[in-house]
Amino acid sequence: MKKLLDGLPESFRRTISAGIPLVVVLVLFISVGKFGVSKVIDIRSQIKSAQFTESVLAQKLNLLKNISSVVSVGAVSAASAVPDSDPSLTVILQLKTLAMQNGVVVSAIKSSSGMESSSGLNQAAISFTADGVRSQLFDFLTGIAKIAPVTIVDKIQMNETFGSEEADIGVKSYWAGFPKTMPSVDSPISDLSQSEKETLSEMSGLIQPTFTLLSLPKSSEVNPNPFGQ
Amino acid sequence: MPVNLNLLPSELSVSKNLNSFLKTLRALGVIGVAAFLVFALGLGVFFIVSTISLNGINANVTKLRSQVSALQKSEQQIILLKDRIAKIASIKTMPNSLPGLTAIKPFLSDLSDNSSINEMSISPTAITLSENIKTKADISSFIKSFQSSDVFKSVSLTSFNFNPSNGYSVEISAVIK
Repeated sequence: MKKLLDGLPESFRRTISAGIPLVVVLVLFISVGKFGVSKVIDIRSQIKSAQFTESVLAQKLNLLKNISSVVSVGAVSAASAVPDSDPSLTVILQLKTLAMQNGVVVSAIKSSSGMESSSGLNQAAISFTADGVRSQLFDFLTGIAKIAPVTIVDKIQMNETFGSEEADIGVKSYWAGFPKTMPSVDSPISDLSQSEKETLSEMSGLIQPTFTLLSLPKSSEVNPNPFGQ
Repeated sequence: MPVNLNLLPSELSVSKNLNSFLKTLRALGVIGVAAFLVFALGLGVFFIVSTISLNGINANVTKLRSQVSALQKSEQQIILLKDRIAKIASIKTMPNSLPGLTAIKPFLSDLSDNSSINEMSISPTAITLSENIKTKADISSFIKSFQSSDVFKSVSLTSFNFNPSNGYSVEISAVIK
C-alpha cells in the first residue's frame, strides 16, 4: 500500500491523507446515523404506544372504580329485563300476578318460541285470553310494559258482552345469550351515555318477578315407608 | 528582515492553491470528527434516557393492568349492561300495540254507560273499532272527539248504521302515527 502511495504524485498523496478523516467521518455519520436513528425512532414509537396504553388503562381504572356501584345494581336489572334463556314461564308468572292485581282473569295461555333475529334476539310469543271490566283490562294491558322481562304487546282483539270485556292478547318477550368474550385488558371502555343511563333507569323501575323457593325435605326426613304398607 | 525559506525538496512541494484546499480539508475533517462525537454522544444519551423512560412507563402499565384485572368483575358487569341496553334499544324499535291502546283510551272513556264496544282490534299500525252508541248526543260527541284530535294519522268511518231499537252502530278504522 505504502509502495503504491509512494508511486503517486505528492499532491495526490496529500489530498488523500487529508481527505481520509473526512471520508471516514462521513461513513460513520451515515452508518451510525442509519442504525442509531432507526433505534431511537423505534424506541420513541414504543414510548408513544406505551403512553397511550397507560392513559387508556388509567382512564379505564378510574371508570371501573367510580362506576362499580351503579353497574352491579344495573347488571342484575339488565339481566332480568333481557334474560339469557327463554323467559316464557317468568312472563306467564308476571302476567298472572299483574292480572290478579288488576282483577282480570287470564286463561288459555299458549307459548311458542321464535327464531333468532338479526340483532341476536330470540323471541317468545305468548297468547292468552283476558276477561274483566274495561278499565281494569286497560290497566292490565298498560301494566305489561312495566314488567320484567321486557314484554311487548303485539296484538289486542277485544269483544264486549254485558259490560265485561274479553280480549285475545298476544305478547312477545325476548331473550339473548350473554356476551361470551371479554375484550383485552388494554382495550378502552366508555362510560354509559345519557341515553344508556335513561334506559338503565327504566330497567331498574321494571317490576321484578317474585319466586318462591320450595324447601326440599332433608335426607333424615325421608319417609321410609312411602306407600304406607 | 526575515525571509521565508522553503527547505522542502521541490518534488515534495505543492501549489499554494492546493495547500489551502488541503488545510480546509483537514479542518473539515477535524470539525467532522468533533460533530460526529457530539452526534453519537447525543444519540446515545437520548437512547438511554428514552429506554429509562420506556421502562418506567412499562412498569406503570403493568401495575395498571393488574389493578384493572382486579376489577374484572366490574368490567364484566359493564359489558353485560351495555349489551343488554343495546338489546333493549333494539326491542324498543319492535312493533308495539300499546301506543295504539293509549291513543284510543281517552275516546272510549268519554263514552256514556249506554254505549258498548262490539269489537276492537289493535295492531302496532292500526285500530279498528266497532261500537254501539245509543243516543244522538253520544254519537255526535264521539265523532267530534276524533275530529278535534290529532293523535291518529288518519281516521276512517268505515260503517255507520242506525237501528231504532239499538241506536247507532259505527265502525272506525284509525291509522296510528
